[in-house]
Amino acid sequence: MDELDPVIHVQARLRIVSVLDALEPGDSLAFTRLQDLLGTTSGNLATHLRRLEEADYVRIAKTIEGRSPATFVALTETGRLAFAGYKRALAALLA
Amino acid sequence: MDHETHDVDAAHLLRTIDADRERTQASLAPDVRLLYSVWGVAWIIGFTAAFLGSYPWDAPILPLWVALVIAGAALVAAIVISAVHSARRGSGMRGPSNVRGAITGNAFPLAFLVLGALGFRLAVAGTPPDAMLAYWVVGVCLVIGALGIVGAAMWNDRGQLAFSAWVLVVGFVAAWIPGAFVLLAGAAGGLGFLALGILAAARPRLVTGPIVPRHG
Repeated sequence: MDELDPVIHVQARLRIVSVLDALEPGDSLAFTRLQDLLGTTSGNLATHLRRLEEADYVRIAKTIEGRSPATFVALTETGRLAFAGYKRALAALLA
Repeated sequence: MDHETHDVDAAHLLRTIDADRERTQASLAPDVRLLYSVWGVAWIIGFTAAFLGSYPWDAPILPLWVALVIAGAALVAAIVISAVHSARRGSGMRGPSNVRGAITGNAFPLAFLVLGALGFRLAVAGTPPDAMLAYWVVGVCLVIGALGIVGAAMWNDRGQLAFSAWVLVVGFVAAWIPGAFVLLAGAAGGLGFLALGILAAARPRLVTGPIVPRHG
């Protein structure tokens, strides 16, 4: 049975990964849009994103849109696989 | 953590994951109820105006130019409302989906350009007016329906599949309707969009969401 991944098994990070996993593979979402969807503060979101980035589960890209800076976040292939494994582990607990 | 607590947590967590996925996809995708309503009203106004501008042939109820202005205004309004709404919903997202969306989005005006070129050629060659009306109605349905069905398969989108399949049905039926009455088939098509909009509100599982379940 898979162990529950401790990087994902924290409510705030689980929700971030759930939202990003709902995108098509390769797509990324603006930090502000992700923040709106999760209804969280930017500080809190940034903290958890850093932890996910350290695990190579998300990729964070900073760009300039028009004249203002924008940050885009995407789930990496590693993150997508880890999330699939996490859901398998949850399902196994229910079996 | 004991086993029982684990079980309760797992069920709750899986529900949370599903809820976040559904909420994310719903908030990034256009609201099909709005799109069905806008296009339903546009088709009803546009095709009814075109009918009134072409029937009876010798003394139409509306001058043709008035009918075409009304139909054109309805079409432009529907395009602007859908484009602005879809762009707002998809804002903050980028990647391969945007590129695929731009390609499929531009396929429609390109196909209409070809449809228009062939229509011009047929009209200049002396095709009878009632056959030309059928050409325009059926041609528009063919472009929207066929491209829409391919798009529905690509995006795994049940709403787009229902919409496009209905447009193809309207096109098929319209091909057999004589004279200017073919334009009323287009107006009836608009009524079908409104019905789909009501279905999307009352029974969302029937006409919205994925065609086949997504991974996970």
